[in-house]
Amino acid sequence: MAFLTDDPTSAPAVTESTVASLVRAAQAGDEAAFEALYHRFARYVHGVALARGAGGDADDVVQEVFLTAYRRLGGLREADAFAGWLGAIARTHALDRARTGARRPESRLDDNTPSRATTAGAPDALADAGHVLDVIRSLPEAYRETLVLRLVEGMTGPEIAAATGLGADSVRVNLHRGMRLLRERLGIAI
Amino acid sequence: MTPDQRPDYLWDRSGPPDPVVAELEQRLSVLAHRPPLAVAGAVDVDATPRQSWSVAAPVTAQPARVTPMPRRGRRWLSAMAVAALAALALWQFLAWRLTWPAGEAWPVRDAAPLIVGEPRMFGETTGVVAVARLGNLRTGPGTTLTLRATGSRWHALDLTRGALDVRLWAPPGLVRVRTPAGEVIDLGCVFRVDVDAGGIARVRVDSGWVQLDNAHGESLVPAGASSVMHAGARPRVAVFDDAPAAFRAGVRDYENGDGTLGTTMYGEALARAFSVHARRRDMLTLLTLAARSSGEARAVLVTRAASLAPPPEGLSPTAVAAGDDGQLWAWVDALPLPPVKGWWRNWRDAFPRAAR
Repeated sequence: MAFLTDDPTSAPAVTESTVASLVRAAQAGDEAAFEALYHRFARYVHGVALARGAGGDADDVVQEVFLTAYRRLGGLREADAFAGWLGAIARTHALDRARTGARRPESRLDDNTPSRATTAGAPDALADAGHVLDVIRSLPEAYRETLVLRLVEGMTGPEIAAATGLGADSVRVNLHRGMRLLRERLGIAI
Repeated sequence: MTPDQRPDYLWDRSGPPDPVVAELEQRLSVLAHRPPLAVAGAVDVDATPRQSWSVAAPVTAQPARVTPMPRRGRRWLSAMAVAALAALALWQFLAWRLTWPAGEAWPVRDAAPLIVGEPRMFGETTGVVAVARLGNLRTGPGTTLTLRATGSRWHALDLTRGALDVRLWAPPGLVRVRTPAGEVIDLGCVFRVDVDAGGIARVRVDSGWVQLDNAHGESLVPAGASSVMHAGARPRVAVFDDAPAAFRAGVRDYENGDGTLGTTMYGEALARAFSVHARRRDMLTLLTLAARSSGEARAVLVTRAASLAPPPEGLSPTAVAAGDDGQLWAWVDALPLPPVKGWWRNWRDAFPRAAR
């Protein structure tokens, strides 16, 4: 089963058992193993954060999620459950961030714009991306995360299925139905 | 060709790119994750931009005039050098204390060392085990202990039954004790953890802080307080051992209720009954319970806390009672408690018990 990589075109396929062995090594104190897990799952966590409304704080959420995971990794009994466990942490943190952000008036100004990206992209491009992201977030919940992982983070369907624990068929259906709705809401002819 | 085998750009980028998908990918790419330069403290030297250092050239071509340093200046320099040497020695001692070869067994007084992965039943005798170079622990009767992992990064133990008296002087999070109820994480301190036959963990902290952590949440326990952890519930809030008995019993009854913490009439009445016994020192307990409560019970707990010590300027008890957790935790942060990260202040814990 292919897993997440920072560069899907060049990295070798990683099996689920490899992830489990990385988790076990990290639990035993191997820092390099944890760093490898970070590189494999950072895009997934970032996508979950964006889909859940973390907006401008998505990068911070990624750091918080991995710090929490690092701290709690010793308590994870099933190494194979790492991806689902990490996803649950990511959703909780993203929702917390979204709630906290909603109480901070200043954070509403750039809710959709990652702070790091303000130096990486032109303001117009960021505003445009933020608009599309808003539309994705307005879709039914089943499609939001899948579309963000595919269109923003560049993960393929098989990678999304591996990370989320959903069946490949479900991910494929969510991608196509979600994409159809997204085209409609963006006013793009089908 | 089945649908699964057909080229599908949206699914796995196979086949010709769907122009709409490709355009959206391009428009959204500015929001994608980009890995930072360093991860969790591990600095990738090659990825870190190097700063070029240079010494500015003198502004004049004239040779600098050499002025002999006054005697007072030389003394000051000597003092600085001595201080620097002392700091270096202290740093080296700390570095030595904090490092430990990965997987190396822990010495046990008058017994075979504790080997990674091998459970040890200590029976009725008290085992005195060196926790790497960070301190030691003593086992209580009927203790079964396994060293799960050890190294410079962290040390992990499994305590399935029995008790440990742990005495450490170390940065937070280096030593973790896994029990059937969840993890007990040392935040630089002296503490005792008991695990009974039912797998329930009880923790009492004598100095520093301990964190209890399981799948349902976490709880911070300061020096002088105790807490309980069950596998099926969030670790209980910390309660100071010198709190009035009526307060301690009331808090535990409240938490052991139906799990809805204050959403019932019963919860509100109970909160009202025990909170009157709270002292100013029990603010942490009251506010942590309030964070876990809702409705009238939360309002009762917040009102009682505000009557003991009003929150700092800018925080409103009314807002906290209404559910503003951000203000609630800001209030908790302002309580006169030792900082969790101030482990080095408990330097006495580095010495044997008799020295204290």
